[in-house]
Amino acid sequence: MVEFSETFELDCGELDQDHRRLIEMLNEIVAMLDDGKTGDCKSKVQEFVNFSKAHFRREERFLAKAGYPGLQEHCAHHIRLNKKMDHILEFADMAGVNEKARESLKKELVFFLMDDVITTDLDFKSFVEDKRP
Amino acid sequence: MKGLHIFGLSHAYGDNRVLDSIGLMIPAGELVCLLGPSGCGKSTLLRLSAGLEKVQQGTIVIDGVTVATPELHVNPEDRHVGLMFQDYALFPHLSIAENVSFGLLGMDADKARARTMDMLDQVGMTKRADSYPHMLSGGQQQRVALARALAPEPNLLLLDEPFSGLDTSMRQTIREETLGVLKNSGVATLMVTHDPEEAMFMADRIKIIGSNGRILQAGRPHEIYYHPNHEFVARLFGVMNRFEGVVINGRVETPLGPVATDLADGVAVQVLVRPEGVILESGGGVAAEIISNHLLGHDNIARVRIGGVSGKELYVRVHRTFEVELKKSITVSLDHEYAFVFPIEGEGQTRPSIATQTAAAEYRAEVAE
Ligand SMILES: Nc1ncnc2c1ncn2[C@@H]1O[C@H](COP(=O)(O)OP(=O)(O)OP(=O)(O)O)[C@@H](O)[C@H]1O
Ligand SMILES: [Fe+2]
Ligand SMILES: [Fe+2]
Ligand SMILES: [Mg+2]
Repeated sequence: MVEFSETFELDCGELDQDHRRLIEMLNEIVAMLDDGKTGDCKSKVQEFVNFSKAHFRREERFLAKAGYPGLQEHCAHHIRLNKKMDHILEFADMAGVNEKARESLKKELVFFLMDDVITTDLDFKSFVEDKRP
Repeated sequence: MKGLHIFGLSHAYGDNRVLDSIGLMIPAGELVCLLGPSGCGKSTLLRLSAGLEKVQQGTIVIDGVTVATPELHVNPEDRHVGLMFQDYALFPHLSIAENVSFGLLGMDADKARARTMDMLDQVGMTKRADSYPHMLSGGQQQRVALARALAPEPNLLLLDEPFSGLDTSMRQTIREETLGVLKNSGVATLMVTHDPEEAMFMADRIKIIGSNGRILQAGRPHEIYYHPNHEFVARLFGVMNRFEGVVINGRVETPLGPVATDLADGVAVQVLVRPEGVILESGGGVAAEIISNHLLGHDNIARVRIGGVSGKELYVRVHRTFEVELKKSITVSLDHEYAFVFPIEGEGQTRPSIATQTAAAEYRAEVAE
């Protein structure tokens, strides 16, 4: 079970809320896999991917508006994550028939969300803090 | 959340900046390998995590507890971290059992003994409990060091090139054993290695740090090998074939045919191809002549030349039982899964792809409106 503790917070309401929502979705998917409901998990994973993509757009807009100097690099990072999401969907496809795919799906979702998405975002935490009046 | 969480971590020794904005999350039970050139700051990152070095910038959290910021420094002994460093040898004057129970000082004596024997059992060293370190082989000492590090049930295990002192065959055995013990313990592990194959074998996730002290790429071993983001990452895994060219209509021409890329038109690029990405055939590709072909068994690499006497030499992995002598003609072709395109700009920042430039520009335009 993944928890959104304080140290993952950007202190930026809208984006933190998105991250929290993604963690909820991740936990739901993991619970489904552990309960053997692999059939339902595919659509949930698709939902997770769609929400991630929408979140990236919201975040990029927010950063552009704030004048974040690392915007282009962060956009590039988000684009690279598309490939990872393709893989995650492939694992989800196989989750019903392949135990290894279930394992990899869980592992990848956690690393993707907690490391690639949320921890990498913390790079701009201090920028956002300094901007605050 | 249980595990190791690091963010915004930068570190310098005087003017020498070694780590730059490092972020890392390792959930309990997972093993992350750090790979990078000598001097990029891998050991520094471990020392900072262990509390042997003070944090200058950034935050380190272990099992949900913040243990280090520039204003806060929790002492190493209060972080519940297990260490296995290159130069962190066993205590020579203590027996094997005493070495393992060293970290269990506060524990009830019977429990400590039971825990020690359990750990020695897990690493297969029960029979040597009363021996002294100098009586053991390197591999056996390494097993004991692992038992010692894990005995106090640390929240985090830090391994700095733990197998570098072992010879090849021993290394493989100890790696496998260690992995089994670690997975069984459920501890979050951060391991440094010089050996990319070792990282592939051990890691749930590999993090590559460049000589600029920044993270170049993070991903599953499969992803790092088949989808490297940087020239440096691609080259980690051994010899590469290299072609140069310019992107035209989203493609680069090579002597083995065009390769697709999402880099912008007009960018000068290099195409790196792994030896297994050049397929040796008899007919159906570009004509080639064999320069050398040595059987190694697991990893047969031949050298071939294309384009005549003054042409280009390529390294080719020979698949199956391709017997050069029995072929009328030799040809080579490209397996695109193993061909990677990078801008010619050295390690570090890749030129953004078309998509990136467009995305960032669009947002800026939107904001300007
Ligand atoms: N205590 C120190 N004082 C000054 N400079 C240091 C200190 N420790 C390390 N350095 C320097 O910091 C840089 C990073 O060192 P570090 O030991 O972290 O590298 P590494 O990635 O572990 O390298 P290797 O792969 O060779 O072990 C090096 O240039 C090193 O010389
Ligand atoms: Fe985000
Ligand atoms: Fe982001
Ligand atoms: Mg080192």
